[in-house]
Amino acid sequence: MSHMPYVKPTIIQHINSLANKHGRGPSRHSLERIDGVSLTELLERFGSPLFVFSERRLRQRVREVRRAFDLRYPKVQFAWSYKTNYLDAICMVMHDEGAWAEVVSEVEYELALRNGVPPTQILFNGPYKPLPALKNALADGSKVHLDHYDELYAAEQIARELGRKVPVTLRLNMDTGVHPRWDRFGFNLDNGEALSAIRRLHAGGHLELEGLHCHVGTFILDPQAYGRAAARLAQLAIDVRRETGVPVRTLDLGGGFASRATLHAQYAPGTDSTPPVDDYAEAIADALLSAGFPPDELPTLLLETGRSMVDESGSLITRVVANKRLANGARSVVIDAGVNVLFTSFWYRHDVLPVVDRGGMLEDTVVYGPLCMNIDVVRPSVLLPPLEIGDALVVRPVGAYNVTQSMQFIRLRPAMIMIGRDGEVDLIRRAEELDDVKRAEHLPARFRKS
Amino acid sequence: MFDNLALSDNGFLFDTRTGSTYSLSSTGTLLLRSLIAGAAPDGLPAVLVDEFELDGRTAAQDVEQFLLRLRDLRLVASDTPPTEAV
Ligand SMILES: Cc1ncc(COP(=O)(O)O)c(C=O)c1O
Repeated sequence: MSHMPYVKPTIIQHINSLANKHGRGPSRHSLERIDGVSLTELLERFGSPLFVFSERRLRQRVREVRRAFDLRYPKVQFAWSYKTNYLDAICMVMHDEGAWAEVVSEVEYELALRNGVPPTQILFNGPYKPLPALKNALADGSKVHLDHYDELYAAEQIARELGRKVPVTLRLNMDTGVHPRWDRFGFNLDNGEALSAIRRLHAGGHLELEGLHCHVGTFILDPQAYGRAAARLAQLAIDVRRETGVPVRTLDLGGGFASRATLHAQYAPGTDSTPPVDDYAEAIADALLSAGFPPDELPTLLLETGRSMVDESGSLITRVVANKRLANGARSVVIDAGVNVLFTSFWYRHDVLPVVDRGGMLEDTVVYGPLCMNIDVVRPSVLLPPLEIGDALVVRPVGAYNVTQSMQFIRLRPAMIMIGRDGEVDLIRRAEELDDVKRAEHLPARFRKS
Repeated sequence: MFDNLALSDNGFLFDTRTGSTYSLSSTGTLLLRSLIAGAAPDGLPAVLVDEFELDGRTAAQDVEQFLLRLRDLRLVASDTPPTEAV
């Protein structure tokens, strides 16, 4: 008997070079543990698939991002973008690290309150703030970012009812050289709309311009786009100060820094091509510090960084449920987690790694989810070793947007755990049950079987 | 029937007829070498079981998949009957 371990008999045709169309392969070939905790044991304990968040990684990253800005600008405040991931445990880590909350609906506003965030530390964005929510937020001193004229009128009416001047922030959009341009939100700076809105706001006499806000877009790979946006916000603030005599106290550059994920269109992996957060900080701080603010009127820099903070702290552990050859001879595997819980598969070329690498040749593989839908493709092409049914794979980074955009489409949503700083493992969301989904439904009596 | 195939010990395969090249795993190399030497497909699972600590069912399934691949790649004639999985 041979002393070599058994590997599956495989044959792979060379097409130019093996790794050609994949860019460089993953930085490693397997991942057995996260923060020292065995992924195989986690699957045995909590079932598959399973979202795993690393508290250590998350806090490290938050501190790294904050330090990049604190080193370069004296007044910086982060606000956690709730829509990026509003699991309570994640939000609590962010708040514990000093972040305020940035919310875009009355639902998220409520979540932030429930997490103990004082209203004055909530930034309220979004194109639709229902009137009662807008009233509460303005009355309680939240930083409300007005998106359009109708909202400005509504805010004026509320201030009138409150009988006092109410501070507000204006959301602006502008050409920063980034595409797609997020010009459906806020007032346009390029065509003069922003300046007329500010004049109108002052003339109204009920609102006070506290801040200016601009969210350039998401997954922005060019730090200079932020430099341009910051320079223009600063210039506008200085112009407004000259015209009205009132200094603008906050400049909010939104979110959008790229995480170290890899977009489908990118050749090099995100770990190589994503700019370090220092580059964004440098561009923004340079623009603000050279804008010409008097030292005692330097505005506070607000940031709503989402994915860049949380993406890499999240991994999805999943099991292979089938091996399959496609009609064209291509190899595929079916896993037990699909795009209903991995929305970012549509944008990202996630790392897909076996938990245990048992050797054998790597082969170009399509990774399918378990949904009976053609769109359920987790990776259209990735080099993987031979896999058996039940083998575990890690998909990463998945910390941003997947939890909040997941849905109970065909399958229920899986359990989510957090590995604490000392390696303790906590369930932070149990696997969904059918009743969770059906509880809100009501079957008319005439359909009930007696 | 395998005259056109040059298979090296480390699993590099060159098809002189088509000019295509392939890489085989060590077990794939063992199986194809057996076929080239005249082994019957039915006997291949036993070749694996003799060589590795492996149950007969896995061996039969893996051999079946391997032979299907060889057929897809037109390295064996498509009328070669695949062995039945147990
Ligand atoms: C207003 C606003 N702020 C912050 C964010 C967070 O963006 P990101 O996750 O790209 O940092 C978004 C997301 O699109 C947003 O719309």
